[in-house]
Amino acid sequence: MPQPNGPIVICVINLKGGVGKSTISTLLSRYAFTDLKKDVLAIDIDPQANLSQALMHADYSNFLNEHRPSIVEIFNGYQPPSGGHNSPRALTNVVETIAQIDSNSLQLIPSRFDFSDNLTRALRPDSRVLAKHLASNFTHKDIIIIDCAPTESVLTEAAYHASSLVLIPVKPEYFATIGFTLLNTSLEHFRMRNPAHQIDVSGIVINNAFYDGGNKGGPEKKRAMREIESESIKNGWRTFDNEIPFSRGFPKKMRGDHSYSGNAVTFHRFAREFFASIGLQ
Amino acid sequence: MKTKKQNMLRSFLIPILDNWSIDEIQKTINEINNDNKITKSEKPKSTYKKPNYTETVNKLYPSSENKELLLDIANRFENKSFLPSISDIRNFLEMRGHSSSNIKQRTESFKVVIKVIAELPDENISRIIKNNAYSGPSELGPLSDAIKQASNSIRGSEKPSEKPDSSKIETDEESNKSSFNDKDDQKS
Repeated sequence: MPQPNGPIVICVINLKGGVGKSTISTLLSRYAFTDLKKDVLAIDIDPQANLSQALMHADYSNFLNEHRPSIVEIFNGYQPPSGGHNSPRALTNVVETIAQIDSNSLQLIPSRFDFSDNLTRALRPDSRVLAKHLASNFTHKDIIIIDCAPTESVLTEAAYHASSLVLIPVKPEYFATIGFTLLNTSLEHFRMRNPAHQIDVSGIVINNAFYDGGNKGGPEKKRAMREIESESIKNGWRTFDNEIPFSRGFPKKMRGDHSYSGNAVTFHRFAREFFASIGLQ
Repeated sequence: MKTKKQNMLRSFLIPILDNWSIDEIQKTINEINNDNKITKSEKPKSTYKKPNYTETVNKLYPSSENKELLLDIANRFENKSFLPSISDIRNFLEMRGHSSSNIKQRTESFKVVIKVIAELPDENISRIIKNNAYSGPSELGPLSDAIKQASNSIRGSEKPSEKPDSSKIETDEESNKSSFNDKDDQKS
C-alpha cells in the first residue's frame, strides 16, 4: 500500500568522495525491498554508475549495448533515435525492474558514464526535471533512494529538489568534516532559494569505522569522531547509534554476492535504525 | 610358544586330517575361496540414480506450458552458465522473497530455484535466461567491453584521427629543434 503522504524520498550525499554513498544506497534499497517488503525505487545520479552496476549485475552491459533509457534521457526530456526508431520519442518507462515480489518491486533509474558530458553540453540544465519526473511517475512507491555524485553541481540541486530527507555517510578520518561545511552551505543556499521546499537531514551515519576490533581506531579516529560530533551539534544533525563497521564483505554484499559477508552482516542494525527514524518499518 | 588360537586350529585339523588327504582338503579350501570371490564381485550395485536437472523438470512439470524455458534453465544450471555459485543462488532467492538460509549446496538447491522460476511469466523467465543471473566479479570483463563500445558510439565523432598524418610527423632533428625552442620560450 502506498505511503499516505507519498513516497519518502531521501538522497544519500556527502560532498566528500569515497565515504560509501553508493554502497549504502544499494544496501538500503535491498533491505527496504527484501526485509521491509516495501516498494522501492533507487535512482543513480552519479555518472560513475556504481549503484546501477551493483543492482543490475551483468544486465548493465546489456543496458549499455541496447541503449536503454537512463537518467540521461530524463534530463534530456526525450529518447533519441535508436533501436530501429527513426525519430526522437517521448520518455516511457525509464526504469529497470531489478526484482519483483507480489505487487512490490525494486526498480532502478540507472546512470551512464556520459551523464556529466550531456549536462555540460546542455545550455541550462533544469535541476527540477527529476522531481517533475518522480511526481508524474512514481507516487505509488514507498521509498525512493537517490545516490548522489560527490561534487556539487546541477545533479546535487536535482537531488535536493526531488528529496525531503538527506542521509550523510561519513568516515571517521582526518578530512571527514570538510564535506560537512560544504554540504551545510549547499543545503542552506538551496533552502534560501526554495523557501517552500522542506528538506531535512535525517542524520549522519559513521561508515567504515576502521580498526574496530583492533585498536578501535586509535587517536586518529577519536579526533575525527570529536570533530564529527562537534560539527553535527553545530548544524543540528543527529548521528545514528549504529556505525557501519569495516568489512571486506561490503563490496560483495553490495552486488548480492553472498560468498563472504564478514562484518557486513551487521548492516541490518543501521538499516533498521535508519528506517525506523524515518517512519518506515 | 604356541598361542591359544594356534592350539585351537590344531585341535580342529587333527580329526580332519584323520579322514581326508591334504590334497582333498586343499582343493575344497580353494573351491570355497573362489565361491566367496564370485559372490562378492556379483553383488548387485545400488541401481538408484539421482535425477539430473532435466529429469527433475520433466518430473515436476511434465506438461507445463513453459516447460521448454524450464528445460533451458535446467541445461544452463547443469553447465553452470546460470547461477554458477551458491552465492548467486542465495542472492537469486533473496531478491525473490525466499529464504536462502537452508541452502548449503548448489546441487541440492535446483528444486527450490526451479519452483520459484516456474511461477514466473514467460517474459520474466526469458529475461532471467538472457541476464544469466550472475553476480560474480568476472562480469567486470563484459561490463568494461560494453562501456568501451558504448563510449565509442557516443564519443566516437569527437575522437581525433587515430592514424597520425605522416606529413606532420617530425623528424628527430626537427623534434630536437622544437624542444630547444621550447626551452628558449621558457627562458624568455
